[in-house]
Amino acid sequence: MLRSQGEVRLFGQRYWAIFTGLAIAAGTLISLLIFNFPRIRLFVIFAFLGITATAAAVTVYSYFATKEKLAKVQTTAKAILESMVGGVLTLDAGGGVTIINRAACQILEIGSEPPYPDLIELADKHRALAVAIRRALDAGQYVQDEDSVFLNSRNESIVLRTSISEQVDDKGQRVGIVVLVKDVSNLVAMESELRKRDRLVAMGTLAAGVAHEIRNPLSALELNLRLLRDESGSLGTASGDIEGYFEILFAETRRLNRITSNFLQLSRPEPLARVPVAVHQAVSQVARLVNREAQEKNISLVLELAGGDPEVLGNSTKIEQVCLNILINAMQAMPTGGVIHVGSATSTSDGRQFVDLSFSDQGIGIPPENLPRLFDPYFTTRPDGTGLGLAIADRIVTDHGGKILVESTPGVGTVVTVCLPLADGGDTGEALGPMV
Amino acid sequence: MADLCKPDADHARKDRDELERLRRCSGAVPSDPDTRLLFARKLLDCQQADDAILEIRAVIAMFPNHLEARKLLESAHELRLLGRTSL
Repeated sequence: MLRSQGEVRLFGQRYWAIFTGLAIAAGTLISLLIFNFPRIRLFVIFAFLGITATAAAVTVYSYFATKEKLAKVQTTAKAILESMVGGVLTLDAGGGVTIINRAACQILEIGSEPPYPDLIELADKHRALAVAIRRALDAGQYVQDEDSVFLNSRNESIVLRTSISEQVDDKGQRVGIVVLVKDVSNLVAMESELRKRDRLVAMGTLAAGVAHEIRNPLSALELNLRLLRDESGSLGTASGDIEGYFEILFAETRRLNRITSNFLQLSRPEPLARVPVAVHQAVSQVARLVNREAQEKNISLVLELAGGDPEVLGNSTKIEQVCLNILINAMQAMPTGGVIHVGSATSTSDGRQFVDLSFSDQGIGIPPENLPRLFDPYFTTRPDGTGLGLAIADRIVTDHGGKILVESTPGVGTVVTVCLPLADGGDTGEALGPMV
Repeated sequence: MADLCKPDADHARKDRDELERLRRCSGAVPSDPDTRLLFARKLLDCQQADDAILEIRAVIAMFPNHLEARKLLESAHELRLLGRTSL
């Protein structure tokens, strides 16, 4: 499957050198036999046999040495191919797969042993890739870092980054194509997240100023509306209809005020002071703050915080805000009551230790199509919601170097997990047991 | 005796005036959470925990995610349970 052109050529040169030597020796021997000098003839025969034996030994040695080197080169090349994170496959001019490495098999979900799928079979799952390969083979249209999306066997959306170039032999003739494939789903998600953050920062800086400017005239508007209502009341001109209009105006100013206040909270650029924050203490404090309201709504808050009180570096008020926003969301999702479990665990990801706070509710759940937009500012399914609670929580957690994960089953409930990186020496001692 | 009582009387009058001013402000802009919470704090200072709780609850009804309001409400409840009515 793999071969070294250099090694083969080297062996070929030696072979011809030996063959030429033998030809000269044979020519000399024939000449001497013709001239018939007995003593010399005997000497030449032995000399010829010696040269032949030496040549044969050198040939055999060279053969095995070359074979060994070739095997080493093949093993090394194979090891390199198999160690590559990206997938590599080569196809001949007819579109048949000639080489495929392990990463390519995993990414494309095809068997690692021959027979490899042909282009038609490949097109079933990876239509965009098969089209790009066909174009490269038929029209010489090669691609560089072209992204396509496919659904894998676990129904996950995978972003495939493909580069296709021609494969040439030692004479420079095209013998096929080389295809590089890479699963860049995480990278694309991160890029998208960064773009979203950049957009938010830019939007926030601009809009924070606007929102701030709106709040002051809004207060004046509300105050004067109230004065106007009092005045019309004292003059006896306020009818039931006018009172209704005033109520609408007050309700709308309240809504505007709420939106601008929440928006300022989201967009206000605040430096994050990093001090050790006891996470369990923060979440317990927030649970106490909402417990009374929860009880009024027939909701039980159950805290199961395992393992001491791990610390993260950050701002305790902001971490409390995250817990509050998530708990409020959970409570709003449970109009008929139920149980909210708050748990904690530690995990390791990319060599870093995290504390994972999970908030499990028994609420109405979130439809799958809404999950990707959950942290988008102003995305809400409640008529009275601002759509900023989770956006603020997400921003705070991201600022702390963490992430929020959401799993939800409509009609069953939602689990929101807040993963925050532990400060050095995070305490993960004895379990405290359930707290209600 | 009258001299000793006078500062207390002045203080009480100032509190009443301040409370009244904040009540008017809060009533004038009921959708401003900062003003209403300021008024609630003053109510607690003036030993009117029940009114303070109502005021804070009104803020929370408008801003369910208002952490400061929730903390103040919890403090007000705790103070009321302890039999104290002032922060």
